[in-house]
Order: sequence, then C-alpha cells, then structure tokens
Amino acid sequence: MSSVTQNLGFRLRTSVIGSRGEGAWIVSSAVIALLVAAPVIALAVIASRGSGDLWPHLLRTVFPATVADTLIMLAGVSVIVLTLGTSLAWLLTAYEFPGRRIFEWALLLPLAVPTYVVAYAYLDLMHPIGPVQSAIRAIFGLSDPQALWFPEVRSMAGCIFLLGFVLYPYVYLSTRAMFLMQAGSILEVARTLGAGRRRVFFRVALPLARPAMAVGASLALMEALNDIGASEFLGVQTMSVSIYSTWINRSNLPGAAQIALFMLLVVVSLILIERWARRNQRYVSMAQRARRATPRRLTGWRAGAAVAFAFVPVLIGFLLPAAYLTNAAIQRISFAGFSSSILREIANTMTFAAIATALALTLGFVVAYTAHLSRRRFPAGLMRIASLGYAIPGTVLAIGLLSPLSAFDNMLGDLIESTTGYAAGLLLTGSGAALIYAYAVRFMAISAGSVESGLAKLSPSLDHASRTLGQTAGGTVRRVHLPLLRPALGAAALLIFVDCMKELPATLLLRPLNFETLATHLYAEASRGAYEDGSIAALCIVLFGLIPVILLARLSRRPSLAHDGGAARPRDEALTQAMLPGDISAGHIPERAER
Amino acid sequence: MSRTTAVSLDLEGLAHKFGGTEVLDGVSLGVQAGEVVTLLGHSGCGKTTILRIAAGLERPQAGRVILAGREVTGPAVFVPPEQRGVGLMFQDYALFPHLTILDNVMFGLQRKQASGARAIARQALARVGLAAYENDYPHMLSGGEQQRVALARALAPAPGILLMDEPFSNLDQRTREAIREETMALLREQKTTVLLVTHDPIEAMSIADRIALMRSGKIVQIGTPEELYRHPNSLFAARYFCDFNELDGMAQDNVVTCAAGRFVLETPVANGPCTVCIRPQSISLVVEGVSALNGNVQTRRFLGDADLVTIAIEGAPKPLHARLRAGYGAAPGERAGIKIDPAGVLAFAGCSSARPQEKTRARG
Repeated sequence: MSSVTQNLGFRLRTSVIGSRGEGAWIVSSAVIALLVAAPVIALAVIASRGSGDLWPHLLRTVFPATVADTLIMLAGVSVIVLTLGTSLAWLLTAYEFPGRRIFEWALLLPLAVPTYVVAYAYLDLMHPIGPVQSAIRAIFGLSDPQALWFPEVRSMAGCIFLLGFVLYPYVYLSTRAMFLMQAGSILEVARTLGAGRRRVFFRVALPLARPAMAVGASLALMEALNDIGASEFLGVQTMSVSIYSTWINRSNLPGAAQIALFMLLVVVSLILIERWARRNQRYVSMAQRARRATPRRLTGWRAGAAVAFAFVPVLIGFLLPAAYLTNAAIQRISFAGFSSSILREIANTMTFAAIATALALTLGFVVAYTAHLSRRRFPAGLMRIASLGYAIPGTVLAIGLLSPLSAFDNMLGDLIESTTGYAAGLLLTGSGAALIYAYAVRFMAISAGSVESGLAKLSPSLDHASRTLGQTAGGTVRRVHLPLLRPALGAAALLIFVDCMKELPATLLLRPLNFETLATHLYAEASRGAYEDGSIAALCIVLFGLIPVILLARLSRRPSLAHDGGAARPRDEALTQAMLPGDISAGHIPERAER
Repeated sequence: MSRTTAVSLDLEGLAHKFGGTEVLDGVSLGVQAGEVVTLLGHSGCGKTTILRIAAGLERPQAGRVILAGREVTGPAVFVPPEQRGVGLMFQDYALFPHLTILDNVMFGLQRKQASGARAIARQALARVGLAAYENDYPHMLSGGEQQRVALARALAPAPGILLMDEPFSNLDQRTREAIREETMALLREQKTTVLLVTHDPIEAMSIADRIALMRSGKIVQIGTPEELYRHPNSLFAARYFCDFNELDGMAQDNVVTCAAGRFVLETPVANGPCTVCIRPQSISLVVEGVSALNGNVQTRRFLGDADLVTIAIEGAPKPLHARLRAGYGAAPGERAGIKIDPAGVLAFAGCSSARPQEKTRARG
C-alpha cells in the first residue's frame, strides 16, 4: 500500500470515528498505563533511597550468589524447554505414530501444574522414604535408605529439571503452531531438491520456527523468574526468593527493591533477546496456503521410541505429581475430612480471582480498544506499557505496590480520622485491594492481547458501516465489536481467572493479614514441612488449572487444526493467543508481518 | 542451467486413499522423455495426488512409479523424494522465506562444491532474468518473479523431469499467458520432461503434447489436445473443452435425429436415445427459409471478434447458443434460418436431461 492510500485510510477512519469520544478513551488508557507503570516507578524511588550500610553488605554477600543462581537456573531451564518443546513439536507435526492425537493435547497438561506445586509434589515423591525411592529399593532388595544413591531433588539440578518439565509446553505450543503454519509445500519442495529429513529440519523448519521458539522460551523463563515456591522449597536462592527474604526476614525494603530493580533488568534483557530472535519475522507470513505436510508414519521400534519420548514429559510434568496429589488428598480427606479452612480458602481464592478478572478484562479492553480506535503511536504505546505488567515478577510488583499504597492508606486513614474521628485502618492494603490491583496489572496483558488480535481481524469497514448506519461510537462497541470479540474475551477471562488462582509471589506479599488463598496455604504448609495437608489445596489448584488446558486441548485435537494449520478457527486462535499473551504472542507474528 | 537429460515416467495402476475416500483408482500413465503432459481435471479429482506420488511425497496403496526405467515406488520399493532427482513446482511456489533468492536456488545444489553451485544458481537466475535479485528475499518479489525463482530453483539441479502443480494459477490474468509462454519455451529448450497439473482446458491445450483428462480418481481419456477436443470419448470430456448445446436425440446407424435436425456422425454411437452436442461456433445464421431449420433470435451479445446469439427453435426446451462471426446475422426478435456444420456435432449414448451432479462446464 502506498503512503498516499494509507494516509487516506487514516483520514477516513478518524473522520468517521470522530475525535470527541477518542479523547476520553486515550485519557482512560493513559491512566491505566500509569497504574501499571506506578509500581516500577515507586520501586526506582525506594531503591534510590539506599539502605545505608546494608547495601554494601548485600552487594557482597547476597547479590553475587542470587544473581548467579538465577542466571544458572534460567540457562538450565531454557535448555530444557527449548530442546524438549521444539523436539516434541516437531515429532508431533512431522510424524505419525500410535497415540499421536492423544499426545497432541496431553503434552499440554503440565501447564496445569504451577511450579511450586510440582516442586511440592516431588519433594515428597522423591524423599528417601517416599514412594519412588522405596519402590526402587524394594526392586533391588535394599533395606537401608542410605544404600541407594539417588539424585537429590533439593538442588539446582532438581529445580531446573522440574521447572523445565512443567514449563516446556510454552515452547511446544508456540513452536508447534508455527510448524503447523509452515506450508507443507515448503518442506516438501526441500525434499524434492535433494534434502533428507534431517537437513529439512535444520535448514528449513527450524530457522522458520525460531521466532516461535523465542516467544515460547521467553514466556517460560519469565515464569521461572517469577517462581518463588519451587526455588525456595528446592533450596535455590533465586532473586524472587532473595527479595522475599530480604524484605520479610531482614525487613530491608530498599535492599529488596534494589534486587527487584536488578531483576527487572533481567526481564528487560529477556524481552530484548526475544525481540532480537524475531527480528526477521516478516518472512513468516510467506506461507500462502497452509496445507500441512504429510506426516511420516513411524512403525516398529521407531514408533515405540516416539511414544516413549512423548510420554516421559507428560509423566514427569503431570501424571506423577497429579497422581501423587490425588492419592495424598484422598488419604487426607478420609483421615481428617474436608476441613472448613480449605473451603474458606477456595472461596477466598475464587472471589479475588473473579474480581481481578473483571477488572483486568475491562482495563485490557479499554487500552486495546483505544489503540484500535485511533491507530496512532501514542495509544499503541500506552497499550504496550499496560501489557508490560505480565513481565513484572510478582515479588517485584508487590514491592513496587506496597509502599506507595501504604503511604496512600496512611494518608487517607489520617484524613478520615482527623475529619470524622473514626479510625479507618488500612483501606487498600488491608482490604486486599492491593492484591486485586497487582493481579490486574500482572494479567491485563492477556485481555489486551486477545482484544488487540481479535480487533485486528475485523475489517475497518465494519466500524464505518456501523457508524454510517447510525450507531454511535459506544453503540458500535456494544453492538458490533463486543459480540465479535466474545470468543477472545471469554478465553482471556478464563486464563486470567486461573492465573489469578495460581498466583503465589504477589499474593504472598500483598494479601491482607490472616487471609489465605489455596496457593499461600500450600506455601505455608510446605515451608513448615507439613506436606499432607497442602495436598488438597495443591490438587484444587491443579484441577482449576486443568480447565483452560482441557479447553485448549479439545480445540487442538480437532482435525481441522491438525490439517489446516494456520487456518484455525477464531475461538481456537483466541485461546492460543491468550495463552501466549500480550506483545509476545505467537499468533501476532503473521499479522504483524503483513503490515 | 545445465542441459538436462530428460527421463521417462511410467505410472502403473496407482491406487490411493485418504482415510476412507478413494483419491486414485487405478491410474496408469506413461510420459516419454522430453514430453510435456498435462493432467487436467476439476479440483479434487486426484491430479495433484499423482504428482505427489511421482515425487515420492506420498506413497500409494497400490501401483508402481517407474522413473527412467527404474522402479522408485512399488510394493517393495520406495525411494525417498530427495533421491529421485525430480523437480517439483508448487502452486504457491514454496520459496524458503528465510533464504535469499540465490540461496533458494542453491538449496538443491548441495552435493556440488559451493563455488560451482553458486555459478550454476546464478546462471539459472540469469536464465529467468532475475540475476539482479539474488540477494533479495522472496517476499520482496512480485508474484511473477517468485514464480520464476521457483522455476529456476526447480531446474537448477537439472532434474530429468519437472512436476508442476498449477504453476501459473497464482498469477494474475494479464501476466499469466506471457509467463506461461516463457516458461514453456524454456522447458522445451531444456528438453525437460514435464508433467503439469491444471484445471484450465485452454492452458492444457496450449502447452501440452498430450493431455490426460481425469475424473474422480481415474484418467478418462489421454490424447493430443486436438484428439481430446475433436473426439472426446465421453460427454464429460466433451463438456470439459466446450460449452456445447445439448439436445436429446435418437441414434440409428450413425445418424442422429434431434430438434436441430438429422446429422451423420463421424464417430459412431450406439443405437437408441442419445445426447446430441452442437458446438456454438459451428452454428451460423442465414436468411429465413433458406435452411430447413428456423428459429427466433432472442438475444445478441457483442464480444468483439464474435457475437453470441441465442435462438429459440421448436422442440428444444432451451434456445441454441451460437457463436457467430461479428457483424453477421439477425437482430433480436427477428426470425432466421439456422445452418449447422456437421463437423461440430457429436453424440453420446444416454440422455442429457439426467443432469450430472457436478458442474461440468469448463472453468478458468
């Protein structure tokens, strides 16, 4: 399109939309972006205050170890998720073997197991007198627990291994979508040009999938960085853990803030690496007619090997921990019944998740819709800022939020007390509003991303038609866009809800006093070394986490996705898009490339 | 592009199913070295599957593929595509988006030394007039240029046979014919064997030495374009190449009688009810009364080099369509005499009123 026609399109667009409404949208967007940016700004202010003599101490003792641990952990996890995710994606796209259709969705199941839950489960599973080691000893006839050497789960290696096996689905999901999108003809033409399967994979399929691998890996690493439970249970001193202990145990807020700022630096470099890996993504859009390449049928031992290779991640990442949790929960319930505290925690968790979902959905819609309405740089930038919350680790967010909110609370409390004489207490932090705020900031990217990609698929002439048919801007939203965006919004709502339920680090730091969710309950039990009681909470979290995974799995199991690849239906896309949210969604790649 | 040694291709009794649906049902076809054969048929008739089987991208349930006298697909043999030395061109060109034009063309030259490969690739690009674009990426080129890169890439390894799947259908109408001419001239010069898939009868006739017409997984007729056009062996084949006027008739000893008159047939037909097909261009108008057959001119459309006229005649449910030389004949509403050249009349046993389900009018 020439610049002339583009400008013309722009003028037409703004002239129909009108500028009266647009201002209000942009102001709202700016406020939302500011709300997201506020904790980061606050963090910088706290950190700059310095912590006196503590800072050099921190720099000498805590800092090098925690940075080294974090980077080793990230490097290890990225190796596992990339090899596992990419090889599984290729195996399930290029080959046909017994059970492939089942593995296609079963490989997503570990997504339902949060990192702290898998660590919690394996601590007990792999305990010297736990089921796995006992079974091995029974097989070899050993009686002394000392007699069997077994790799220690409470270690860096154990942490990397477990995180890798629950986080690989991010790479698997995005890379497989890319493999499916690659026109079969491209792979086939390489064969007729004399390239064997190996060369086709390394010279054609893999380079083309690189952007998707980067997207998936950066999401997995952000999860790993955000994790607090698994690293702490397994004795790895990551930055999340250090922030928590510096703040809570040493009451050193500026020190924690400084570590948090450094952690943000790591996040930013992750995003930059991911951007860099996608720099030439334009070419991805080349596949005009995506017909999937005919998968090669494996037989004999090859088929067996394929099944085994696909089964192991499902076993380690889902089946074992889920079976353990189910068993432990059943034992616990039959022994002590279903405690009322669990029911209260479920209610707490769901209430907070529901409120936060509604808020995140609304705010995400506003920023994405504003960017769509005006198509200028500024609102689009606001949306990017609003979506950045997804990359801010929960501990960092909590630190950034807590002190400005406490200050506000104190000010407000004083004001109320001085005018009415009534002690209001901590309005925001005490009521859990701070936690809702944190959830909304962290997960707004999901709804904003879904709405953005949903709107991008709608023709601009829909707006024009609606407006020329007498609808106002608001009426167009209500009667045209919202109904069309329903699948995108539904998928986003589901994911935000479940993500809120699973959230641990921010919840841990921002919840009101004596307020427990399923996740914090589990954390407390595990920290005390009381494993049985946490199993019910852990099982509940996994079961809720399964809902979006099952939905995604059901969609991806439909033959049309398997065979048309890129030509997936809207609901399908909405969910995949929402799973890989915001700016870093694989679904965006072809769209952006077309522009 | 180095001179290729054209090879022959023989397909014997190919049968293939996708899931439960039969795609190919006993297809046999021989393509001689250096020959250009087109597989012609509606979409879904199995023609692309034949190409894929010949290239080794698909393994049929039954049948054999023999390339240059050597069995490459058979009950006990399967040579993978990378070892067959066949060139394949896709409808969407399937250029590697992450490689430059030169790297795309060099992709199939991996067994040669890098410098030699580069020289061959450059030569191939020069041959299609794209030498200046070697460092560009595919998305930077127009559709026609992409098509030529795909051609250069397919021909660079000097395959003995080139398989082409609708190679011109993604081009717009204006450039299509020119690029088709260029491409085919190049291929004839290279003396490459070509098996080309298309649904367009005009395209098939303009490039093929022989056409294999397909219908639901079977080859219904093989022959030169002229044979298929003049002597179609079925109503389906006839309809594919021409929009005939179809009338119910009765055949008796190679003479058919229908509402448009009696005709002696060149090609024999069984006695009994039959469908009489009259080419629109073999109908001409004369002054009323000169001919035994007269009718009412209903419409007249000016098409430049011809006029399209519809004439209602007695005993026929639908008016006849006639394609007349421009500026000759009567105006709508007038009566005119009708002359029909018997060379343009064909007959097939069976009634046309039993309409077939599929749309048989030639497309494109």
